[in-house]
Amino acid sequence: MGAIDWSLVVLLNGAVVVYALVRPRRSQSSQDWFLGGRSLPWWIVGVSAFATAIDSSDLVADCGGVYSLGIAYFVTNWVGTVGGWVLLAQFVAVPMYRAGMYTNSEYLESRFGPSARLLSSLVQVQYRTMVMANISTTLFLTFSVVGGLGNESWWAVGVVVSLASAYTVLGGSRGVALADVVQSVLMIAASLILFGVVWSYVGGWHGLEARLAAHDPALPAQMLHVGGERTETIDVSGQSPELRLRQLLLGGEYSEQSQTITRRTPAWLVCISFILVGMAYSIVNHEQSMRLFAARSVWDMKLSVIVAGLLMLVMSFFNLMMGILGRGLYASPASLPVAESLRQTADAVYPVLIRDFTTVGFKGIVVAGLLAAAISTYAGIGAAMSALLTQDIYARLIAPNRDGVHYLRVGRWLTVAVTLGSFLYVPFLLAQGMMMF
Amino acid sequence: MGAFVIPLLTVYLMGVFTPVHRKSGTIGLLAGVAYGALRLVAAKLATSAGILILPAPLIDSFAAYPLSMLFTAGAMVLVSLALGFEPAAQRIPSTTKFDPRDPTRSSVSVAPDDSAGRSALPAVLSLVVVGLGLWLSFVVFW
Repeated sequence: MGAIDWSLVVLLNGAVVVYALVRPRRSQSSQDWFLGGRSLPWWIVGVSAFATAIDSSDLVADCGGVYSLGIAYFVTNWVGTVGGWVLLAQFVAVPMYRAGMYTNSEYLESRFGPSARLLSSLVQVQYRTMVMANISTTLFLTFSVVGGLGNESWWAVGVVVSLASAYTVLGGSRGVALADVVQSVLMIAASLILFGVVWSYVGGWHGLEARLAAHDPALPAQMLHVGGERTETIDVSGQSPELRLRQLLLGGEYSEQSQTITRRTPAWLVCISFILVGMAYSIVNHEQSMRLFAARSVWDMKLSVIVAGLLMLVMSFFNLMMGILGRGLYASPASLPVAESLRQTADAVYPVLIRDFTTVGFKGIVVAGLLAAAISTYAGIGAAMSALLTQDIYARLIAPNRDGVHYLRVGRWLTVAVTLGSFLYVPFLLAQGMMMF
Repeated sequence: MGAFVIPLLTVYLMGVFTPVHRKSGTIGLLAGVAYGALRLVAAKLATSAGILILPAPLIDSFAAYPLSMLFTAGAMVLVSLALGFEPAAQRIPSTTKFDPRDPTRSSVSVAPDDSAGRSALPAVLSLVVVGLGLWLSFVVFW
């Protein structure tokens, strides 16, 4: 990346961060911080929910996953996440909202008792801090591959994470939501630019089919159709008969000729799994409930997911298709034009497409959009996990009789703690890959 | 992810849509997590030691998600059959069940009067959006 591109990245994202720090009034109470003052209209809540859902790991890690899984994975967002949002806004979150709950885990205590609430909070904190680590890792890959910073990229990641934490700490839920609206514009522009350039280069749908078929005649059917049977082929050449038998304990058919084990999964089972994954994201994550709890009325809350859903339907196609386009261009992760350490998985495919297919200026806008996606979700997760730890564990179990100002202060400090703690996952993600389905 | 998050999803849905017993939440969650953990151990034992402690279909990574939901929901239903189902009045969420004295609640608990929340427009539009997603997935790109 050249000076123009870096300038665009700093200016565009810097402007958003400054806006997020200055625009919302500083949160004065727990209700302000945790519930956004219950003041946001449906369109802000909806855009914020979408922006929180799409982060740099969706753009980078999911594309790395779609590189192998194909278009069937789109069902996760198209049906799972969107359907989950509808269930959340129409049924699940409504009683929580009307009862004035601060976290979705509080509902579990009301319904099932304190142990369910505690387990829910712990599960969410573990799961979502790993996603924060995903985001940090995708930023590292982007700065490393596109920016050419190599291992120095971690300093840049630190700066980005610090800025996201800063406006979360000060603005809370409302600050995060307002920033999300501006960041969404950047994210959408970046995604459309990159898609347009690569789609044109590949030759559109027919060109993509031809490129995939050139790698493997069976690939177009597997990659471009939701209804295609999922086939996993494991190379067992060089393995002893005993090891081969152990692999076969997990199912599959062995081919003596090709020395491979093939496991097939029917499309209906793949789709059900993906739908459950998407639905779990929408309903279980407090960062999504937190967006809805900031709505000024139940009607606004219910309408907001229409906005979020429509944005998700459209942008999922443009975002996730990059993984399949990458597969058309690069037959295997080993053929990616990156350092050998980054070729263990396909996670580098999205940064490679940015680096090799965008020109000066457009590169800066696309990277700025990726950063905007990372910052918006980072902030959302930070606020939500802080809320869970403060309300469900600290206030509920450790210090139950303190006032709202105290809990607000604790919430701010826990945002920093959660952010720093998430980096413990990073070495594991770099070694194993980010999308572990 | 499936080992923990799918059981939690199931507990939320069962809690909202069914009258399962109050004690079934934690038990269902633990049952779902136990299956998830056992599945991971079973896969490892099979490939490293050649020992199969679960049938292959129960170890499959795609099947694990719906199976996790089934185990969690099944455990919740069994507990409810043994202990009884929860009356509707006791299922209404309330923060006073655990926070009767929390001063931060007083300004939030009473939600603004929201008769517009009963408008059918959001529900209708929701069905349209969900329908679009289903159409894209199972018609256009099938």
